[in-house]
Amino acid sequence: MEHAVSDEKQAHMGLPLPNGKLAMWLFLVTEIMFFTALIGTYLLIRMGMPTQSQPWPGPKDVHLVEAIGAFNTFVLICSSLTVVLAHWSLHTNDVRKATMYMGITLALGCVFLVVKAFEYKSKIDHQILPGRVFEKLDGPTGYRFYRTVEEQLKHIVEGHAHASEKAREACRKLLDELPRLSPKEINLRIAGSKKVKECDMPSGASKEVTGILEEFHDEDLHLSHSIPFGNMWASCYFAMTGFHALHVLGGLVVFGVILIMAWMGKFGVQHLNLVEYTGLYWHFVDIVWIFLFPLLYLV
Amino acid sequence: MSSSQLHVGEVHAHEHHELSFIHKYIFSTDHKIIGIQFLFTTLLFLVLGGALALLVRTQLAWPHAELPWISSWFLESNGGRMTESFYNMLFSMHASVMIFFVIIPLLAGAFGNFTIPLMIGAPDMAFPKLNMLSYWFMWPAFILILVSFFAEGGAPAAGWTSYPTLASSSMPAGQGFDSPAAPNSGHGQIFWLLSLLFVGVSSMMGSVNYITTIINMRSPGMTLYRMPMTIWALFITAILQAFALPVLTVALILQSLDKLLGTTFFLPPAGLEFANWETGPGGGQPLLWQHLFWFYSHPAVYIMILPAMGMVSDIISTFARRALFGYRAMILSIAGIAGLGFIVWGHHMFQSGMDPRLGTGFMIATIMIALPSAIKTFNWLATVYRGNVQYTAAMLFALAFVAMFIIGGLSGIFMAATPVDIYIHDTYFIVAHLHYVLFSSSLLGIFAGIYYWFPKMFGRLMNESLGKLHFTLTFIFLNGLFFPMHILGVAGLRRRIPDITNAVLESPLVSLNQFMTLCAFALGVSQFIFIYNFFYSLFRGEVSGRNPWHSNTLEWVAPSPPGHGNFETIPVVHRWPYDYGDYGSIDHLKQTDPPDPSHPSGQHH
Repeated sequence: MEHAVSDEKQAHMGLPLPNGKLAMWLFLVTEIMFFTALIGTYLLIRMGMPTQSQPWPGPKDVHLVEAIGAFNTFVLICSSLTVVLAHWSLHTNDVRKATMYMGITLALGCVFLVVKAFEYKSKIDHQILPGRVFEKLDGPTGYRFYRTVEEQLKHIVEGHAHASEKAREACRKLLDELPRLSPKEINLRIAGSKKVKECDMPSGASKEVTGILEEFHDEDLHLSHSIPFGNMWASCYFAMTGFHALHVLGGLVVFGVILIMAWMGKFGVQHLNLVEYTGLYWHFVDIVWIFLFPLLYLV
Repeated sequence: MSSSQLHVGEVHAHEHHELSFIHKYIFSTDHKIIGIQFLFTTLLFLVLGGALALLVRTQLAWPHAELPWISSWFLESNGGRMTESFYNMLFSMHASVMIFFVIIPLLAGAFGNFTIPLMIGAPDMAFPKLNMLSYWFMWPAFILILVSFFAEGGAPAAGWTSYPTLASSSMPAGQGFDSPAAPNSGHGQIFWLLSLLFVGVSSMMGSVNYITTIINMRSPGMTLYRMPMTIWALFITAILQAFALPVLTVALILQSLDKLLGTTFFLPPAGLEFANWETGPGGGQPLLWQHLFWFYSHPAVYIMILPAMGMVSDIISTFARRALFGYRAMILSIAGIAGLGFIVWGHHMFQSGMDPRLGTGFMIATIMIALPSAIKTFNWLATVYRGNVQYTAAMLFALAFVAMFIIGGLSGIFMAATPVDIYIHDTYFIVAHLHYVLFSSSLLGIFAGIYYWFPKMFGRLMNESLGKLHFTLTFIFLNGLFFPMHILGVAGLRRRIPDITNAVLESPLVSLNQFMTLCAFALGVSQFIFIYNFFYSLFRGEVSGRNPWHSNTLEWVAPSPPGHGNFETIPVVHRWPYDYGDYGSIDHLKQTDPPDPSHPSGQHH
């Protein structure tokens, strides 16, 4: 046995992989654990706390549009394809084509982030942010809710917001009645009985109330209403998609560097490994989104 | 596949380049220099952690006494006496510093960096620049943890585990960063969280580098089952780190978000009221932090001992002049400890309101760890048995490691059993256990490693007599300090209590505490012998030559200290590292010694 080893002196003792590729896989292992912990946190909070009367918010409750998420999923899957094509083109010595595919991948990544930015903007507009969502309308929270709604209604009634004449009229009516209503009743008048969850139903309220938001479908009609677990939802949503977006951004920086290298004429077959490792990373980013999309938008 | 050989060639081509001082000693990419950088900085933090521990001990023995010298610095508001929240800060920071800035970076950072390429016959790490980054990412962590002492409200005081709600109460807009829940969990806690994030990034880079190096950079003939135990232990430790650390990273990030951006991952649902403030409308799960934290921090206790076990195995075999008993069993038991280490984190939470059925599972898994640990202990004893033992300072520390690990391991089984844990969990018994494992085992293992590899690091031997004196005093006083903690724990002394004279049942224990504190000070003073020996030997020590211990592993083939690129020629490995003892006229066979038919090696590994 010992003779055999000394005969093949120059043998490489490790795996038949370059160091860079091995390290990239190990790095991805740590990344998998990172997102496992994030997703695990989300699952634990989501499965462990909500009840029948106080359910986890559905996509409609938090202004999440499934179609937009699906579009973004499609965009990322396409970009995974183009990064493979870039690697393949470089493999076949076609640097121009590889550069083109790199450019397309970069563009698709940007599309993803821009769409994500619009989604974030809509959350900010509706104040679906950690610590800003109203839930549990009794106690001091109810009083804060009352003050906030009063402010918002005044804003609409005084004509600062783009609201139709009819909507403004409904708001004026609610504003007049406001002092006589409990926070839960105000919430019901705004959101309507279809949207309000059992835990926020005022006792003895009529089962069919059409909320102002339902009646007027006005995107500019920013009126707060209670979303049970809305804060936790927003915390999880921003943490998970935020860290994913940061990873997308990291990939885009590498693609950008490669493109700058190509523009300076320094990109070539010698970068085959670099493109392959970047591609591995990009697939990982894609796969994470494929887990996040159903977990956040569909389930 | 000859990429590693190519790399050797490159390094040799650059070897005669004179590097500037900054490149050679500060922004160095040489694994040996980086290892030594880790060694020096973490030893400095050891001094800080030790000083904090002495302050803790002072308060325990003489509660609220007026302290000479230091009273005038930071205790004026309380009439020169230590406040209770200051005491909380002391033990929180003592533990944080010792764990995250001393033991882990000493073992993985200093010894991992120094030994891995040398012991596998590589010219350097797989990624020298990444290696340099992993050291320099420690600096923001060093600075942040030191800044936290001067932060408004003081350094964190919620324990090194930083359990919410004590540590993570959010700070709603308009109330500043000072959480009303605990005075010291404001700014200081944020610095602590960020500091640990940097430690995590550094460790992550290090572990990826170590695993790649050990898998792919071994010299010809160095098969996996010819690697020294030190390398096996560091390899498995690096895997533990790579898998467990990202979970802590997430936990730290989520707690930072709770404190900075108003999320409520670790805060209970609305209705929890503090003095002048109630929790926000949302609400998460305080227990979730404990799960995430211990998912990392339990494997971390093995990160803090496995490398020491590996080093001690090599040192014991070398100085007992006997082959390591049960080499493969030693490797498998390390792997077993590491594997089980991932499924036992719940045993830290028996007291946190855990379903007994779940607790039973964690209890059984935890007790099973005794099995591989016992295999290791018996194998060390079997290695020494009938050996031709040379009692060098390194060997004494290594033997003490084994002895102390038996005490620490046995008291661990008490803790593992849920019903027993319910009684002793918040007592000094647990403090005794963790100090027997962390100080008496890991740190003694580290001392053994320093005495053993010092000649390879600096080309000079440490003074043996001073080393033995250092060992004797350390061994006596650490037992004087930590052994009575078992008694205190069974007597019911609660841990994390600033003034033990307040409770009727605890106040009789003060005199024993005073004895322990005196031992603690003596233990601290004894370390000056080590400091003197270290620096004296650094410049004046006896020149060691390549292989002062007549050891078999590859690092002793290289010059002392090894130059850039480590080996003059690529070492070719022909055997396992434990061929000691009687091979005819030859005392030991180095891993590079070619097979010789006239001296049949006892073990063909």
